[in-house]
Amino acid sequence: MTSRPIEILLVEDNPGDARLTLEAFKEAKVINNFTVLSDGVEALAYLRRQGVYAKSVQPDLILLDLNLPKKDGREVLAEIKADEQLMKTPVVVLTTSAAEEDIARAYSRHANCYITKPVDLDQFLRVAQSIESFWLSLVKLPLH
Amino acid sequence: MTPPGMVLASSYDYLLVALSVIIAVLASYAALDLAGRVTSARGKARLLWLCGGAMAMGFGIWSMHYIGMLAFRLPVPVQYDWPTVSLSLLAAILASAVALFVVSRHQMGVIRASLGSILMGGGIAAMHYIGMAAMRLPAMCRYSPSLFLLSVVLAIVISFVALWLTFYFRTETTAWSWRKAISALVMGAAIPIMHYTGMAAATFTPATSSHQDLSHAVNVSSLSVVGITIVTLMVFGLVLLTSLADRRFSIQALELESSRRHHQIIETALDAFVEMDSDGLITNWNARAEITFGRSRSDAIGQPFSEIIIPHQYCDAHTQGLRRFLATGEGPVLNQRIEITALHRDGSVFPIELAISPILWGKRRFYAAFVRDVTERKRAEQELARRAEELARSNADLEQFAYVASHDLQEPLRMVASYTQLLGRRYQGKLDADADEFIAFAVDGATRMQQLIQDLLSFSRVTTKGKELQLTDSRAACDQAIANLRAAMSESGTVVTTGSLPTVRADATQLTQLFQNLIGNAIKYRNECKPEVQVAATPVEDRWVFSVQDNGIGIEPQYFERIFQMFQRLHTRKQYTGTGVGLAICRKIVERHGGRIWVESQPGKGSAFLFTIPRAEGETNDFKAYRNSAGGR
Repeated sequence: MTSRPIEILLVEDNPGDARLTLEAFKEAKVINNFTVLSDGVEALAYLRRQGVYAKSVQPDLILLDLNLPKKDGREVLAEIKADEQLMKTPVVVLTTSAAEEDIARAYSRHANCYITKPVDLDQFLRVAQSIESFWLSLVKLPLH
Repeated sequence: MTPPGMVLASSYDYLLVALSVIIAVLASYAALDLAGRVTSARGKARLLWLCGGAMAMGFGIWSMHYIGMLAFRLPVPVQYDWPTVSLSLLAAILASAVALFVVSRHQMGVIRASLGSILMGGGIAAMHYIGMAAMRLPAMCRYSPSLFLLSVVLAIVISFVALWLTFYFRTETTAWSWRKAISALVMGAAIPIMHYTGMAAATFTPATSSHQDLSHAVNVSSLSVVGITIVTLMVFGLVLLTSLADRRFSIQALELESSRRHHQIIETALDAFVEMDSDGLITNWNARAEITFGRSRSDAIGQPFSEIIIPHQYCDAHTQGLRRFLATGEGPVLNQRIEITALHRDGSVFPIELAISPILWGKRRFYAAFVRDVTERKRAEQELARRAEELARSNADLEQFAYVASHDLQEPLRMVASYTQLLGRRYQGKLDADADEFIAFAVDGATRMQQLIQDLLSFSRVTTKGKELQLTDSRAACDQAIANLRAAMSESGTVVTTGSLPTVRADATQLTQLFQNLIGNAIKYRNECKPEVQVAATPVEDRWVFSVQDNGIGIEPQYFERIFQMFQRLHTRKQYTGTGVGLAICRKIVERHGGRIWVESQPGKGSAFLFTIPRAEGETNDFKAYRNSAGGR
């Protein structure tokens, strides 16, 4: 594996949340390339290299919010996992929802893991750290 | 002539003795009857009955006495001094008056009865001995002191017995009764006993000198015996007849008065009263019925009840029932209160409450109906229902609002909290001391508001997100709560002991939350000593009373109510953390389960939070099991 930075796609409509996630990863001292997209349609276009995203870089990890405009995160997840090209990329659902049915539905659509955003900053920072140490350090990811 | 100093031989004419006893019994019977009359009469009638009665009774006793005297035969001619005889009659009448007065009182104690009997007995004895003194005969009369005394005592004792008997039988309303007859027999037999004892006390010896005062003396012939008897019997007959007539009249007067009174009650009643014959035709229509239905009495009487009050367009079950009842005289509308719509004369309809009772009068059947206009009550009921509905809706709105508000507020608040925290993290000590303080306040405020909103959300979730109540093992819910509190428990060294807990109808999640809040409070508000918490439940009538008892700081009685209110706290945040929502949630959960929550506490010694949950229908077996296990321990 080369030492190229890890590519992360963050799909999050709330700029505040998006920035907070970036900051949290920055605090975790990880050098990553983050791409932030704010709706489901855009996210799928990016992954499929459609339109303006024809030259997009395939991500190593997708951080997906569930509540998105145009096409919501649940549909995006279903389409990714139904797409032979995309299904191998791990999807981490990162959302405020703690509803049992959201959790169950995410896993039945093959989400790789489900994390509820903690309200407290310290805990949120710990989440970022955990994602980094697990998905970006410990886990062997597939090559594109 | 018999020589002086010799006792004159005396004998009795037994026919006259028998006659005297019969008159005594009749006099007693008349006395008993009169006593009743005097008691029931009022005012002038009473005085009249008392005087007339005393005269009749006195005359009776006196005539018994004189016939008794005449039955006594001496071998010398006997004459009577009539003024003295009249005096003895007066004594008999006075004694009778005393007797009637005493027995016609409302109450009779021993003292009153004793006084009365001394007066009455004294009067009779006086009559007897005055009568003896009226004898004019060529002989000396001597009395044996002991027999004389015995006769006076007998007179008093007999009077006492007679007064008691009369007092207790005076209320007999019938003219003839066996009890009255038997007591008359006792009294009637007793009076001659006194008389003949008195006669036995007297012995007659021939007079030495014969200068007697014979100026007013009269002979008593057999004819006068007959006369006295007839007059006496006539007096009794008259008394009894008058008494009978008076009794009749007074009963009739009573009936008339009572019937007038009932009529008046019906007329002034605030309910309409309608009487119908067996054909359903109106026969009586009171004043309120005129107001209620707008029809005068003359307009209503003779009309069929159903056509007057039932609007033709109404054909509900009750109306059908009423129609059927009026047609057949039976049906479910009888003997119960029904609500129907009635028709006013002006064509308007209004709700009434109707109660019809069938009455069998001899062989004739008729119906009595009470009708109440319930327009006002109906209006009030509808108003109440409308308000209740409004209240329920506004409550639901409020809950929805609380849920939505707290849910939607969370998002922006998370931003504020997160970025102020981030600000603090990055720039702590890099700006100036003021900036550090400001950031700290902002972080603290945001964090607290987050907690408040979280609590508010869980408070509103009790009803908005509550699950259906199902049979739930409260022991399992309690164990879950204890498991959730493990960290706090081990940190504080808390020991929780759990007794037998029943199966109840509950929302398991909420029951767990309830236990968790209460046990959590017990841990939080602890003393210096190790927290000990006891969870138990006891059945009381139709419900379970759960208790969570601690040995913590306790609560002062004036706060027993307040602690269950939203955002009410007794301590500063520095002393104990919290938002004041926990117990409000507990109360809401308990109320949703149909129970009640309260606290019993002594400051410094600990608190017991108690709540009730209705016993579930299907948990009788558990209850028995509970009893067995409780008894076995």
